[in-house]
Amino acid sequence: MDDIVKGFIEEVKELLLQLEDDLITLENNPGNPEIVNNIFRVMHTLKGSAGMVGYKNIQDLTHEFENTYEQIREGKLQVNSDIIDITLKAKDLILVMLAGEADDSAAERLIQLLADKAAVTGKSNIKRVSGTSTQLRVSNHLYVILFSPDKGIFERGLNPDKTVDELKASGETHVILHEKKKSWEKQKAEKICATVWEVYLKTSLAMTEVEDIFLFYDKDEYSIFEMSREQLQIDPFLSEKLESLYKHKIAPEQQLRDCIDQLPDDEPVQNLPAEQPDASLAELKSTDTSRIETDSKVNVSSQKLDELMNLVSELVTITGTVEVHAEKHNDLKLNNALENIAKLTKKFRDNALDLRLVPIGTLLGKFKRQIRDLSRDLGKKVNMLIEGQDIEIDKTILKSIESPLQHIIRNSIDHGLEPKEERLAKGKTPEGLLKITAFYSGASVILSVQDDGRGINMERVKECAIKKGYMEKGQDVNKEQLLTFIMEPGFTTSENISMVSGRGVGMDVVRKELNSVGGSIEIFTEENLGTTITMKLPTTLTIIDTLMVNVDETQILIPVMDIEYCFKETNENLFKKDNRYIQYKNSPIPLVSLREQFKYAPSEQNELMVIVINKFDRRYAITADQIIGEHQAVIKPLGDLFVNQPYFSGGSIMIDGKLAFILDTNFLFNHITKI
Amino acid sequence: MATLDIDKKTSYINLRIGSESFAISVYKVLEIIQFEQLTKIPNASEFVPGVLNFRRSIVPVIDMHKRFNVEDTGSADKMVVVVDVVSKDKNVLMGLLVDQVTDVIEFEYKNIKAVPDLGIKYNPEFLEGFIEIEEKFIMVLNIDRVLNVKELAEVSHLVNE
Amino acid sequence: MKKRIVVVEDFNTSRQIIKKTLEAMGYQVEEAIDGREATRFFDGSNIDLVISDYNMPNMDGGALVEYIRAKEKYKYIPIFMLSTETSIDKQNRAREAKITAWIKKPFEVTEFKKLVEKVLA
Repeated sequence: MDDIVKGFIEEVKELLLQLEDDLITLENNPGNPEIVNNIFRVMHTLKGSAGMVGYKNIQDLTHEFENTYEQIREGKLQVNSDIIDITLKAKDLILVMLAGEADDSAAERLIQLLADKAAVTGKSNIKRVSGTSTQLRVSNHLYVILFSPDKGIFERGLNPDKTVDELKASGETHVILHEKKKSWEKQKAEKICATVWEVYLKTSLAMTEVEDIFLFYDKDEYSIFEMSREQLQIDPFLSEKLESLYKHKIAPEQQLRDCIDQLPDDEPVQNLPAEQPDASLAELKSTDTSRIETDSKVNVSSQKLDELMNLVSELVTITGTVEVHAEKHNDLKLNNALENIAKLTKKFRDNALDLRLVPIGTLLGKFKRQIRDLSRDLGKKVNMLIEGQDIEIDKTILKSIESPLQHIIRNSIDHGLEPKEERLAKGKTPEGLLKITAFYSGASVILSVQDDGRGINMERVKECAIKKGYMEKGQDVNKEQLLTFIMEPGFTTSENISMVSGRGVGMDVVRKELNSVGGSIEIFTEENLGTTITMKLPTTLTIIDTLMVNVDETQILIPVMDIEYCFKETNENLFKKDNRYIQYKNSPIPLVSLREQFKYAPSEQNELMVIVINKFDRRYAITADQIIGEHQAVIKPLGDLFVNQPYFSGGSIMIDGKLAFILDTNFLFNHITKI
Repeated sequence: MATLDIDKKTSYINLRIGSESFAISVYKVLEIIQFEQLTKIPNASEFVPGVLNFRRSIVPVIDMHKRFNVEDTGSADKMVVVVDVVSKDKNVLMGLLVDQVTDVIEFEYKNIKAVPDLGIKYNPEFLEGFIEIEEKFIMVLNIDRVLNVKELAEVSHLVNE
Repeated sequence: MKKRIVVVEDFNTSRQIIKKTLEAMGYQVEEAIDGREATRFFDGSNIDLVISDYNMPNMDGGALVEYIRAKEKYKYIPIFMLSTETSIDKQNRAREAKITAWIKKPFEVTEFKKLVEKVLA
């Protein structure tokens, strides 16, 4: 308890410092609603918490000030120096009260003073806007409703809005729209409904009465669950539905808890008995934050996700090991159970992987405002187009491209796009085009930023490159080469600020950031036509399905998606004629011995495993000593030391701690076709 | 890293490569582990005898005999010293395969003597200098330079490329 | 302005009961004896609700719905379908039939009133 009071005092002192600051700001800036709101909130918080730790005097005092600032907030009262002065005095008094040295008369005097100066209508009871006081209906039912009308709902003469309005009219509600790809407004205009409503309803209506609201809907178009605020017992069906609505990105319990908290409490907060010092402050804090955090998403650190990834992958591996051993026992029940475990594990893995993926639109959305502001600052009209917002990409990668992308966009608007007059003189549209496109290309995501501005002045690049010593004067360097100079460290300096980079950060930083997540960047530019900067990014694939094979003592992982077929063949048949081809589906395909590639001694086994790789419909076969089995590999980078090592795209740590290497099937194909 | 106080004693790991003694600042060392079976990477250069799983990362191990061009005496006490080196502006973990980790020694930075231009068989850039303890010379390694990633990547380049 | 309801029912007694009930509720009622006759009301004038029997000569309820939903103006108006059918496939799913609700005959007047009031609210 002492600790709680101590913590309370510390916290209040902080609040009071902020309060003082705000009061001074307000004096110079009396109309600022944000500051008024801050002050109101401090008073409100103090009032709500002080009583709990035994400071009834602070509770009473702040109650009055809360009242006053609510009136100011609502515009019913004009703030003036007197009020600020009295509030500052109150702040001082609260400090004294905290120390337990205040006498009640001081507070009374201050309250009287406030009543006089602020002309508050008497010592009225606090007026709550929530409406709970007027509506004294017993609203003790709490429902969670998932309402997902069929897409053709309009053609049944129904309007979901009407139904939701009916719900809203029947009690206190918190409504979340899941709009899918198009906005609900747009869906309504097109008369195709793809929206799901998640409604939290606190009402006096009985279950059957709520069901009546959905009279015209089929049973599978809505689900109503009754909840208890105290004991959050979740119907598994509801849990499943919420999970699929949020694509497993949030725990149903959390979601329900958060949303139910959005509904007004059964009991008004200010009536909390003052003589209840044992109510913990921690509890108070948690309710406070739940009100502030309107975003119901949970932020998880990437590190934790990585750890989860590792654990999941180990789980997958162990399951595999157990399966192998269980097969020997021929126990049907055991095998069935294991099969289920394997299925669940796989599901678990997919979910875990999905956690890392976020739509690229979440980042691009951030830029919309910046683009708008920047173009207005520079007096340029920008026609912004964004395509491929739904493309999903690893969270870490998305985060790492934020600042490069921002830099590129700034450059496009600042240096790329010409002012209106210049554009018109060139016969261009008065507003410049800025197009951001994202799409999948194989395992990568291509993200490009295109503008139709003046393009990069290659002559100036050349001048700068000569000055920096990248090339000699008169040397013949092609455009591609010149453009790579731009991304060299230190190339961009203040003297060529208006060329492509500027603002201190150069393209070299952009390139470095992209490289660090395994991405690459290319610049295309045409004078007066514009510049396109294309980034190629891995989607993530921190885990891939692989087939593990042995080559001598080395364990090699081959991505399952590249494998077409596996079979056994005698060593003799394969290599007797020093043949580099084998017959596969009636045509010869190249044959590669991994032992030969790795410069190991030829195998002395009678039979070898042949794995047919299919890469973009071009096939080749590789030989390995043995197939060990499938392995879900968490890809680990081999590191900078192996940048020149092309055979493997990464490594993976096995359950026994040993390491295996992931074969770069793409490289191998190019490599053998070169020979 | 902590700022260098040249008057203050700092600890160094004393290790043996071939018949020579070397010292690495403890600030650089993350762990010293028994030399286990490394996982060989096919087609990697002889500088990199393999990689190891260190705290669930793949860490390359550099054979210091090859790096310093000294004969591998086939020591039975081989150790891998996992160090944290600075490459460009990021930190990279690498393992040093050495013959023996003898002890931890302490000396002041200011007592490190400059390497004479002549009479040293190693690339002088690899050394901060040397220190004389009990009439023995111990070479103090500039480990960031010894394990220059770019250079190592070039020397560990594929043989058949 | 009074809301306008088209009632389509071949059985006269039933139609009259419906008509009386609706008029008592204050609605304007148009009558048709089958789907084909009912089509004449869909001439561009305002219709707020259609209450139709399913089994009728000439043009049944299903065909009438198809006719109504093909017209842009009436594509999204509510339709109640009356039926004595007990077979689940017809009764249960208003969705496939593109109607607002099935009403089983014989119906309770209070229940019927509730449905009409609700859909026209």
